[in-house]
Amino acid sequence: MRIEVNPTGTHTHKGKLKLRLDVYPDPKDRTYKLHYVRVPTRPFTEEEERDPKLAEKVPREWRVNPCLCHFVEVDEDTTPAQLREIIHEVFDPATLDEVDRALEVGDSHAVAERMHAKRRTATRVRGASAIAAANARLKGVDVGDDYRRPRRNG
Amino acid sequence: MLATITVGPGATDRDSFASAPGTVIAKGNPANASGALTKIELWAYSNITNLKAGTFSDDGSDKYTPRDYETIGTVTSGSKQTFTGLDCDVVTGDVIGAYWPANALERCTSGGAGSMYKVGDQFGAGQQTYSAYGAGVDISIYGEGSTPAARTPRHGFSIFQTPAVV
Repeated sequence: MRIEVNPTGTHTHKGKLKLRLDVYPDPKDRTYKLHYVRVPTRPFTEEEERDPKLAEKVPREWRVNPCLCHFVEVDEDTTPAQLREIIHEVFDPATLDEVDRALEVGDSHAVAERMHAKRRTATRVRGASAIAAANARLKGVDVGDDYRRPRRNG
Repeated sequence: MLATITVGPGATDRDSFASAPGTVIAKGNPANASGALTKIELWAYSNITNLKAGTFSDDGSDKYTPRDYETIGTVTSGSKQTFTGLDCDVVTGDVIGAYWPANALERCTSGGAGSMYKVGDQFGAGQQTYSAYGAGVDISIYGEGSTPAARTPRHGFSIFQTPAVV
């Protein structure tokens, strides 16, 4: 699994700053087959949007989608190093394995409960520029190659 | 004990798509309880940017009032996308909806519970009158959450309860 900050989801809600973490499956993961998909290479034109048969003619490409997009509350002065710690804490190996197993069989209810149990709280946002500042500081953060899941048994 | 809240017709791969008319409300499967949505699922037909999703109160006519929403951001197409870590307020009878400025969500054109729409981003706009988006149209959106935690007494005793004399 590879986990990346997706800055398009950064927002404030109920006074707290929330970051979106996208979880991408690797080929060895169970959910990879569900999210390795063939999709249009470009947005549709207005004409294509009106006519599904035209839209079907738009060239397609293979791409890996996130298997899960999870929002975490963070303090507005969170550093990249602190965010990496948060990611490792929220997405510990057992949680990632449970997410992969549950989503493979469509049990997103179990995933939501697991992730709800992993929720963390942050301090209230003080300034209106918190979103832009957080994105500028944290958008490059990802956890992937250095992340090792436990071996699967069977 | 916590009860599960569900709202929305379901995020599935459907036979058509809903391009961006503004804010779309799915009438199917109104919320069965009050609390907060912790998960929203979406299935996009083409990559969507800047999507917001949230709940609306339904006054029984064509008027809906946004209750709460969260910014989701991009929604990639081709597979069901699951968003967790949300805390979106919902009240029994609420419906779920979304605003996206371009591209399309999956939808069915018949057999659904119906959808309503209004041009533009209506989250934060207060009560508005919506137009029918199609009598049988469902868009691919679904929310789930839980009711507020019951006041679980510590060690088996409530602060309002006198322990039995044994």
